[in-house]
Amino acid sequence: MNYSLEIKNLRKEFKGFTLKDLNIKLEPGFIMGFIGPNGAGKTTTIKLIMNLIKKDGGQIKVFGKDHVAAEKEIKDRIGFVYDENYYYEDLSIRQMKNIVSKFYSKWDDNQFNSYINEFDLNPKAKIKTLSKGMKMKFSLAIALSHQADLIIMDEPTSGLDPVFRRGILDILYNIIQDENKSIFFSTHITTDLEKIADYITFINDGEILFSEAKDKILDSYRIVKGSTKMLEGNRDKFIGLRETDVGFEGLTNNINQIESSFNNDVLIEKASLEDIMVYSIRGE
Amino acid sequence: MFGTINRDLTLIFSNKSQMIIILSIIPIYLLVLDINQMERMYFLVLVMMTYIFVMTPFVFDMKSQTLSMMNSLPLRRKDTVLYRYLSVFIYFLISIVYSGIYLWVIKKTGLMDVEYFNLKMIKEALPYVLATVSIMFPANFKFGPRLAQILNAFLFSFTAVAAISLSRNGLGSLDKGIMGLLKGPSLLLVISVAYIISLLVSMRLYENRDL
Repeated sequence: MNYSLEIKNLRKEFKGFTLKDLNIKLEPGFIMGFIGPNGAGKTTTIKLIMNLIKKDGGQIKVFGKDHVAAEKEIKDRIGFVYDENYYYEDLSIRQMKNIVSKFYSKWDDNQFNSYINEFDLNPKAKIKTLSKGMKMKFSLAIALSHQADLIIMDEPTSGLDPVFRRGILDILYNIIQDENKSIFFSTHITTDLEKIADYITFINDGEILFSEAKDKILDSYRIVKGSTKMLEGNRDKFIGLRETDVGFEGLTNNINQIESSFNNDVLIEKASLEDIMVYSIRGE
Repeated sequence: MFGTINRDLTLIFSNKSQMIIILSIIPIYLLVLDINQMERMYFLVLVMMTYIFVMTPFVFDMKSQTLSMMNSLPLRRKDTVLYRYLSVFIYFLISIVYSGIYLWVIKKTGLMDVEYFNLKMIKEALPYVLATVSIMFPANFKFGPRLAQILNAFLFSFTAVAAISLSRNGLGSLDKGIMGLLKGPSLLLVISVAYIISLLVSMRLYENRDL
């Protein structure tokens, strides 16, 4: 099968941090959320995919092709949205567009103008005068105007207000209606992913803890609440625990074991992605 | 190549302060140099104009930290380096045209009696530009913005001082000592080889650089 993105045993070593044998597969037509705390390795992974930094081991294939050997061809089909503004601040939106558009074989000016209108951006405005939200809109307009088949986004919603975040999610949802397109979306705002992601990959301290279908993940994990004294001899049944004076809260992915151990004496609730992320990190 | 040149020219002529710098180069030289050095001014203008055209995109990349953005575009790093080295010849040509028109206007309006085209000076300026660029480019492709900025400041000062010195004495001053051996066709050959080596080194450095 030709995956939009296929990462095998990817490795990158820095002083004090190592990305360890990452494995990710993303099929066309799906959105993958890439979650993890700050410093977990999300941006490093994305930079490796984009060949902005060199890998120390493993393989990265985009559209079935090696990301270095077919770099130009691959990047022509990728829409990349950055976590920060990396455009020339002194230029206007139109000037910046004129620079970027010359590099893409399928650049669509009408599409770009349509996004600029939709996002209410003034083409004459200098990039340095734009707010963070407006810069992100501009970045999105660039990424979506050359018929990209894979959109890679590094923390696109961080620092943005909920209304604008919802707007971005709607756009992404519309893009994915074309079953040839895929989105790889890193964030630590997990509620965004609960709305639109099909798959979730969770990275912590350079290692992937899981990479699975979102629904399967949400079905597998539960939050268990009860009194602290019930924890005696049962602590190892939880992935992560939080104890207070009034009781405990823990994350489990073994619901049957919890039910048989505690009977009906504990409260079992569905876990959110945030719960899974927080407790998985705490429990380690 | 066209995309890279388009980007560079957009940046070079992007704002008023940038335009003022470019427009003021020739008047500054006219004010600084005395009348006896006028015949060498054409050499100086060509060298410094090309230097400014070549280095402006690097300065913008340092200021805006745009290397990640530029490298996410469909362009191989090897091509980025190659286009940068080839673009030097285009900027040299633009400098000839620009200074030619500018100096022609000065001469025609009677402000000053200056040369606006001198083939001998062009032949002398090109190897000088290529030699300078052969040192500057690898440094800029290898190092991060801060270190590259320091190196650029040093190289800019060196280029300016050396160019003024050469403009005073002429390339005839190279006849003395070891440099005398490199005059004429040998000089061009040595600089061409150095330029190609510099290109290959820059490609290697940039391809292996983490951004």
